[in-house]
Amino acid sequence: MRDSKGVLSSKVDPTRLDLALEFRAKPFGGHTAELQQLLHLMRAGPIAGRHFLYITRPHQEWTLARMSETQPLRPNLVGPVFTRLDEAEWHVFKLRWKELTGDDLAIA
Amino acid sequence: MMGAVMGYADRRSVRAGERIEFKVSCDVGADYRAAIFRLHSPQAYPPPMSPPFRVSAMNSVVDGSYKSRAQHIPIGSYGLVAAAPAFATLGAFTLAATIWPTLPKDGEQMVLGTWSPAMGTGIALSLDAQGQPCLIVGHGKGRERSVINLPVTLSAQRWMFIAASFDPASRRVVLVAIPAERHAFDSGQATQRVASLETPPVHAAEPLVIAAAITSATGTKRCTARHFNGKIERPVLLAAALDASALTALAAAGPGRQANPAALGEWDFSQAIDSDRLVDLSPAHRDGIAINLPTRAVMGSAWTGERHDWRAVPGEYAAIHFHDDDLADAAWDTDFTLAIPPDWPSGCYAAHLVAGDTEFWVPFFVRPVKGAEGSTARAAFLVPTCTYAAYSNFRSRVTGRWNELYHGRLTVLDRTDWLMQEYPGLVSSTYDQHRDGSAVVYSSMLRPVTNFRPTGRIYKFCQDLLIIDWLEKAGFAYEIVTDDDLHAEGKAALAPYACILSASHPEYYTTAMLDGLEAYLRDGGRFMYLGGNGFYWRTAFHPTLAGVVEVRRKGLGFLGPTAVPEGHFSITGEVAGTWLSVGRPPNMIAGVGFITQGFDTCEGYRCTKASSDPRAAFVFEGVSEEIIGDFGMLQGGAAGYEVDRADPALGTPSHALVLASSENHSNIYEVSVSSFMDLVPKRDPDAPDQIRADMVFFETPRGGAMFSVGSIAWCGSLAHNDYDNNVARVTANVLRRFIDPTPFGMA
Repeated sequence: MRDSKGVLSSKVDPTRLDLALEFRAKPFGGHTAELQQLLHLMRAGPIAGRHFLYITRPHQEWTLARMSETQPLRPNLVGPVFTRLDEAEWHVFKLRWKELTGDDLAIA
Repeated sequence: MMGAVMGYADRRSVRAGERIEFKVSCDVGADYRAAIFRLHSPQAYPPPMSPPFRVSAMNSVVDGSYKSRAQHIPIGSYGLVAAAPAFATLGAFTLAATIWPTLPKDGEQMVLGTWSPAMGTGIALSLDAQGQPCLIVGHGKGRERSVINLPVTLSAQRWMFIAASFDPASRRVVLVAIPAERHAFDSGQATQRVASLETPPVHAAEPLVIAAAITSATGTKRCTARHFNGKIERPVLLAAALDASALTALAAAGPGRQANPAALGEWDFSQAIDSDRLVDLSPAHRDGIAINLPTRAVMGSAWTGERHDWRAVPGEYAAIHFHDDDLADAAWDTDFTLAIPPDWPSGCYAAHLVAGDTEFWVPFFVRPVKGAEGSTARAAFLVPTCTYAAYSNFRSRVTGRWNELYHGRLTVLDRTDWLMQEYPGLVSSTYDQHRDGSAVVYSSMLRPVTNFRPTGRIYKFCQDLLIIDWLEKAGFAYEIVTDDDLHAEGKAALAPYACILSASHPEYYTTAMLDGLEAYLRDGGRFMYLGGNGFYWRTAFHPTLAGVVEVRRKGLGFLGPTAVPEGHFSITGEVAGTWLSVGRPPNMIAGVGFITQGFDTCEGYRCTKASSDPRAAFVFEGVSEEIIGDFGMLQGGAAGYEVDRADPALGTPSHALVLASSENHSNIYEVSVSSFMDLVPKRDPDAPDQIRADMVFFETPRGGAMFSVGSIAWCGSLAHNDYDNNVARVTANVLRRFIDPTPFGMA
């Protein structure tokens, strides 16, 4: 995302809780340009180690999984189990926020 | 995740009375169960959000238990030349080829030769694990082979002529590596080595293999290993030992040289490019065969860049690109054969395979009996089997880096999706890249296909069953036609019907298919394009391998790009690419053409002033809302996933009515736009959004008509509110009118 000088950067400002609140309120659909840049950053990491959802009951229950760190890629079911996709998106958003900022997201 | 049952059929389209073979591999449990079902709807969200999963047990004669057996998928392409007595009596010899390795340090890789790992006989020119050219010499079963290397590591993606010769009289071996780059300057110097081979080779009448070694063979089934990744040009086996100067002259003569009089085989890959034939220029005419569809029509070492059509300058396309993950046909043995009973109605069917807690679906489509007693319905659903083939085993959706980014959602996978990781032999689709990074241009349905089923992601076939479900719930009689049929029969496949309904994403069209559909429309046919991103990629069907397609995405970034000069199909010679790039944009036939995609949210359509045009009154009968489809199981709207809009500059007919347009699509749809102009905010608040799906209607000659919705997500709204909604009403209104024989008048 862009820093205060307008330069594209992979650093995430941990004080921008407004972006996290925007995502929590609306994980799917139109976002502000700044949130979209943050989401592009979160979603464009390497495939190894990437979080994804593994279906444990078709269209009803998803378990958080993570690709292995090495090839050949394997799914590691790390949990938790979700029954709503928006809750899963928020959970992964918080995990990635910590990976990018080093801080826990101070929003439940 | 241990073990699986998987299968495929020898065809997708079958008429009542014909036979279809099912091939199954099962490595879990002693037995598996098979049963044939008719499919009426997909396994989607729990009701009432989606219709329930409806299937009918056919209680067919093939239903029952079968003994499990694991069947191997023989991936990796190679060239095969039949065993010959001359190979068994070799004295002096030379092996040579011009090569362009792509993974030169990725294990031992055969270039050509008769070496048999099982028999320990024969000779081969190869690269060792360090990417250095080698001569391999077999000394008989149980004896260690000799490997004489040339200590120069080849660069990836650089042309090099390599050769090895042996003179039994002097026991002298000569190895050379001579740069064959016409344009690049980084290929290094010519290298040679002269060595002595103390123990002469033991030859046998084994096949000559190009780009692999055969490790075992039973009948026509072969196991291969040590596959070469990269291009090979003009491989040759001579019954003479050329010295270094003669080898240098051979290299300098290039791929267009005359055949060497001492050749036991000299294969010219610039000939018969549109086939699997490897033409031998030697007097013995030992033509070979290319197995597993290595990529032909690729740039060779003589490339000039002047012409980009292999038909015009075949000598510049004299190479074949082999991959260790090519696959044309798994060639499994048949487990059971079903003769379709003549009383089975035309429709969507599948063999359901179950072993332990694993399952696999093998869909197929039944057309009516041919002849006077055949078709009875006024409408047919055109199953996009060409598109299913192009997407078959879409590996990038499982392990691609960008999947989540352009979907705007976490990737969601199930156990069947994951089979591609558990069984690498399932390889990949035309959306993927080979292990060496080159584009996958051929894709096959003659293997288990993990994304061709009524379950899993609601997309492609699984989603298309929503249209089948609605047709049945709304009480419309329908029959099935597939892309395979349209390709083979042209307009005759559609002619029995007053109206054809498309699937949700009929993206891939061969020339014969597009010509057939155009001819049908010009003869007064009606077409309901109930999808998005249709008629987009020009495609070629393989002439003999049922369900194998070729796609070449010239220069297109993340979609498995093909080099622009390799933009002609090898199968047909036609120029490949999008139909837009070929000069036949989808707007011409459908009134709309693809503009962008986004899978996070979907929207409704706002009716335009044109929706009040009397010509379109039938469309909106009983519809009073201004917004159409602001609901649905697919991310909440009928307009989305992939969207098309009208554009007169691209061929939307001037008399076409744009009846409704979607609006307010999310910024995920901005990721894939093809023009920055689509991102410029509009100045006129009354103008439609640039990023939108257009609903379009226009009449065609002789009383025909076209209705397009320009959105993949349309069918996700049909079942909303127990099928009582304006998307279902508009769709029914149009279909009812389109099967009415009263001709439309051209506006």
